[in-house]
Amino acid sequence: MNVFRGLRAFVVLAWLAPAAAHAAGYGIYEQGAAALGMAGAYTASAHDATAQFYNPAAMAWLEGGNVAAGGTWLSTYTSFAGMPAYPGYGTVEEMETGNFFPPAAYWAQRFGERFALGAGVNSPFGLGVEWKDPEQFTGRERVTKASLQTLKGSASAAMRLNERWSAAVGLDALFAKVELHNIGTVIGTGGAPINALEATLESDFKPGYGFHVAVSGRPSEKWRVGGVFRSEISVDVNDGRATFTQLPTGDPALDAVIAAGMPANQGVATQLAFPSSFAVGAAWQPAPPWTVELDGVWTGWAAFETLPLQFSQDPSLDQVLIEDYNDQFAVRLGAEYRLDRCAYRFGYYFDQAAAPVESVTPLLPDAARHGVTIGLGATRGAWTIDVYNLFLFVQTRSTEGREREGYDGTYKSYVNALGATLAYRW
Amino acid sequence: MHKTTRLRLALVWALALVSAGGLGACSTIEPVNAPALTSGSADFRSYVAGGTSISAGFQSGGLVSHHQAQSFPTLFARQIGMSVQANGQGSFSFNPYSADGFPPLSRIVSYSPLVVTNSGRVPGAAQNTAWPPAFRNMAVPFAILFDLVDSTFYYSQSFRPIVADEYFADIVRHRGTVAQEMLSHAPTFISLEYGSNEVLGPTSQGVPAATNTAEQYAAILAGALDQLHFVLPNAKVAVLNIPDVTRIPLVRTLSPFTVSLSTGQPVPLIGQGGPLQFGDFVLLTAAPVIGATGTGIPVGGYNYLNPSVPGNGQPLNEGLVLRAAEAGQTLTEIAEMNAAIAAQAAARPYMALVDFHAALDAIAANGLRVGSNTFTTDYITGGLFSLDGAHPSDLGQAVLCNTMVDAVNARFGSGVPRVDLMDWATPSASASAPVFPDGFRALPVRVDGLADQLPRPVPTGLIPHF
Repeated sequence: MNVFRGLRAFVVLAWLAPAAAHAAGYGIYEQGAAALGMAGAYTASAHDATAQFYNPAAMAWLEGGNVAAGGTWLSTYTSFAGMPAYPGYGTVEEMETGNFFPPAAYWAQRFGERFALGAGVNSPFGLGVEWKDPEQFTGRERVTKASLQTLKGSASAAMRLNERWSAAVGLDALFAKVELHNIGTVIGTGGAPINALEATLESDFKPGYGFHVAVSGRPSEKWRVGGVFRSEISVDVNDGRATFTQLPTGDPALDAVIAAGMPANQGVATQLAFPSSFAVGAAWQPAPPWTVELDGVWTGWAAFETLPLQFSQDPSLDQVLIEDYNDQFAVRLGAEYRLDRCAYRFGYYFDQAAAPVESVTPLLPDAARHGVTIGLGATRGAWTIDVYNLFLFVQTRSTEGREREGYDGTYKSYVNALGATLAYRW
Repeated sequence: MHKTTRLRLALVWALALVSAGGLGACSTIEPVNAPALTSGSADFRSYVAGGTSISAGFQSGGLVSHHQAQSFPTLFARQIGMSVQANGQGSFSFNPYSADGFPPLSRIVSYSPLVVTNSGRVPGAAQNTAWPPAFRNMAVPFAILFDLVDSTFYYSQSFRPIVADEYFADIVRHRGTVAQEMLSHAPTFISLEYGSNEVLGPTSQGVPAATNTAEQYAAILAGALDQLHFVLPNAKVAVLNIPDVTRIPLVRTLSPFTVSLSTGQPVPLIGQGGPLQFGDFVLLTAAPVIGATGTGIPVGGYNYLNPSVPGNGQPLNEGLVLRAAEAGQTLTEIAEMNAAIAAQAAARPYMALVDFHAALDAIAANGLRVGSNTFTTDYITGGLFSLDGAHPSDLGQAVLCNTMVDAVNARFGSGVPRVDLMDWATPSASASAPVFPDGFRALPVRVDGLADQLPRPVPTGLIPHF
């Protein structure tokens, strides 16, 4: 258990940084290096403490006590090419290169022959957006910077039902905070927008609660199967703060008009939806060193219908942002070649886009993605370290002239994820 | 080689290959540039336009050069590579009017009470009447489809205002019919926009379109297209259908109801024969009499155009009211005329249908988002109509141009680029017009006469839109 001491400072600091979304929508599936080496195809073959995330029922097959902790360094690159009507041909915008470090830590302990308990903390959802040169960014009225940070604690109890099947149930507590920045403009003489105010909406961490159920099976020597369902979690952010800062325009008369209309700083509330998901997987072990697994992961993104903003003093400021996301499916295929002291892993996954084209915005330019992963593992005694790299090729996506707020163009993104998990068993 | 070593080498190679792919994927996106003009099965070398005041660039009650140069045929001509000059002598020629226009265009002189007038403005005159060839833009305000092929009523001071005769004299110039002038250019591409005056004329006078309007229109259209195709078998034609004239500010701006000052309850305005009914429309042309005298407002009713003038209980002239039944009859005629246009388009591969009707319906229902502004069909603040409440603003013309571009490209496989609406989505028509913020949605007003001395309105509900 001492392994956690050295990681504590890192974990606390890392959770203060927003994460970037790397599954569809704002989901993050990068929660364990061994799993990600196999492209996240781990629901059936989970064999370390990260089972607390990938399939808690698999904890019943683990021996003794297991802990695992680690993180991922996510690097994100996003750029945008405008099209008519706005911002028009020839416009190119870029996000700041994102560097995010979502961590994860898990514990699993067998009790007797049939029972196991587990717990974990991770960051399964997140979003980090920061556009370059925000005062000139053509989408600044929508967003200049945004982050969604989550911290999820979960606990599970697993039980072997018989020699071939196990099941688990557990509870989740998700804490989320959100931050949005944008710049309001007025249209000046000649039509050029003039920056008039900066608005910031931010909240503290607020909780939401859910549950999960899982099953794991070993129908034969060569086959492993598994499934896990996680419930939707809704977080009521009821203590947010809206701050409005006037930006000087250089025109005293206009500044006076703007000052007269400035809204007061006040409270703001919203509701954040974190979707349910259902993952199933089947792993085949054709020969002792090899495991090949295919997973399907459904995520109920249709829960993300709207993002309401309710202001405490001035209801005329209230907004309901229409999102209308769609349920989404991912296919994950991974392989592992595992020897006594080392393991080699690789995988591929395809993740559908959750956002309809009308909701592809500078806040969340969601798109389908292809992930290629490669991983290594090394075991020395009770210690194992796993590392992986994910090359995430996000499909270039056009708004097709249909974005709800009229900010049209094509987004291009690439994500690289480099992660490691250190595990100890006793 | 040992099996494990081979596997390690394979992994290293795979890592290198994927990394190389990743380096390319993280490069900045290339800008998207406007597509180059391609003609498809159409031929844009010689374009002429026929039509009404809409095609002519009529706004706020008159024609003036700076709005004529923004008419949708003129914008389309630019998109297909023709030159446009303010003096009308570019390769897409027209006859521009000087000064404040002919008649002088209306402007806003007071917000409260709202006063829109052309009083005090300088009448303009046609500047290019001596241009030797026929004009490329042969659209004439007040023209009906019959005028395309027959000159009987051009200069006769018949059923139209006298100003119409002046327009025919300046644009057709006693040189035959509109069609003959157009054909003198041996056009390879023609746009036709007729029909609005057949229905808008009666509507603006508070009477329905005649019940035989659609039949006559369909017969003339078929004959005109037959003739065009016979003379110019390779020419392509774009025909605009007719918008729902009950959706325009001329009809929609003034409510047929006000409220009682004593009870606060809704009370109808008064027309000939008594109180107006649900579904009746009070035309924008009634604004001066309502605002100045309180006519149409019942005694004790709130004069929503000029609260300082009480209602006098006198009825509005019937020509200032479009009754629900009259509007229904007009819409029936429009539907039949549009069906005739659609039938012609379906039967003629060389004809593109430009669905002006659907475009206006969509904007009336949902507005038009351009950049951070939402434009609507509302009077003045909507940004899409000029001060007469019936004719498109420059932005409205640009929208119409894109509607035509889309229809032409779809029909003929061409690649005519759309105009960039941001170039028209400005809040004012002149550099001296005041900023007009409205909750950080600057009102997209592009009309004449936003007098600079007017105070800036205090914005309400300032909130950037997430």
